[in-house]
Amino acid sequence: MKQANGRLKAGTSSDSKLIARAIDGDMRSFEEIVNMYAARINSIAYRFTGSSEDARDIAQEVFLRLYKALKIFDPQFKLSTWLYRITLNQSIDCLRKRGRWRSREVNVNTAEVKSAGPDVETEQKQRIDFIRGCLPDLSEHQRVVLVLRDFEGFTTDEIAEIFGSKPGTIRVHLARARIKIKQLLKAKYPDLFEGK
Amino acid sequence: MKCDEARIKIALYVGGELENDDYEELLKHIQHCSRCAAELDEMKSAKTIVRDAITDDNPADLPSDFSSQVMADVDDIKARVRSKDSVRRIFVFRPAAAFVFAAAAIVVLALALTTDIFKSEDKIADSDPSTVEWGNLKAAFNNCLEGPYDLDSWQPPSEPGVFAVIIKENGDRYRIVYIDESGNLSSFMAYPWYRQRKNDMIVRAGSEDVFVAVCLMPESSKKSRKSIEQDIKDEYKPGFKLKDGA
Repeated sequence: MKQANGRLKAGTSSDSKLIARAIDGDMRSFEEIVNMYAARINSIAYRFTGSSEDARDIAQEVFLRLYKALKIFDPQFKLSTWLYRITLNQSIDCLRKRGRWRSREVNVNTAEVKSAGPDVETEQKQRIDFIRGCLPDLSEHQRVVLVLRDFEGFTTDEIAEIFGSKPGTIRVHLARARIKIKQLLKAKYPDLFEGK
Repeated sequence: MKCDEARIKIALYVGGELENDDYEELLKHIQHCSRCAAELDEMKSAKTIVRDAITDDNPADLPSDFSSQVMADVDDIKARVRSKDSVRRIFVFRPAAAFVFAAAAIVVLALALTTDIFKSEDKIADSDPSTVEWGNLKAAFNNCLEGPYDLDSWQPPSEPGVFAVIIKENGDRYRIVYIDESGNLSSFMAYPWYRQRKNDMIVRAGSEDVFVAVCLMPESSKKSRKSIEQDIKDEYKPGFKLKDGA
């Protein structure tokens, strides 16, 4: 289901009204929140897990946690920030439980196979698998910042808000993450960097 | 500008995050540094590789009835809460039932006091001060304690306070694993610093049921917060007690 990009509406007065009404027990408002943010949360969770099934489960869990937290939710707190934090927590927990942070060995091996076949689509899939498999080599800060900025298109200011951190700090993490990913890509696909 | 600094700026430049002044400075450096010029080309290539790979990699759309599924799960939660409430109501609206229950409790208590049936378990609880019933923990904080909140969902307020990270043992009993204070809980427990701590706590405690209890102390001094923290530490000795096989 395609929905409006939740981020664009994040922190608007409509957000505050919806969450206030949901806190008062208006389930239509709660469902509206689900419709507004589901696609975005699904997308973020997928960028981490690489699995549509896991992403859907995470999205479902995030909204159930929101429902359970309604009685203690401070309406002054930005709803989108809360939702994205819980999404990140759930995604990281999901990967930790399934041991996927340690998946680079597997992905590197699948990437080896790709050189035997010229299928561009498979090649791209293996590249994204490789990139996702490189994430464990980054610190947790770098990993989350890279996924949110380069995979999901959040601005550094928005990420800073999610982290409760300064944009300058986020930019440093981002730069270090990109440098590390570049080094790993170059080692894996030197031909793509030839002549550069 | 040194090359190390230039590399950071190059990594930001390819993502469009570099300020104008920094860009001018970087440009000057690159004109005289062939290594950094090469680094810029490589970063551009890497950026393109990542962008192309990401563009082609999207999650399956959520099912069209996704929100209905969520609302059905919410209804399940509501039903469970109602069922718990109805048990409470039995005693609220039926004094006779409450009387029978109280009488039965007195008989059991009398048995417990006159025989050794429950004494051994009680001793275990008494000799393990780091587990505590919620009501007793609240009393230890002079009844200022709020919670327990799920550590993942809790939004630390921008206020001073003392907090305890607690792990649910059984029933209403909790183990205090960590206690601390801060002049601003929101920044002190900011994401992701605290979640890393939390993960560590989950691993060390061998449990996922991690909660936080907090005593907000507006306009309090660090000394007064530390004093409460120390009292709780002395009484309950927070820490991890690994379970068998952990």
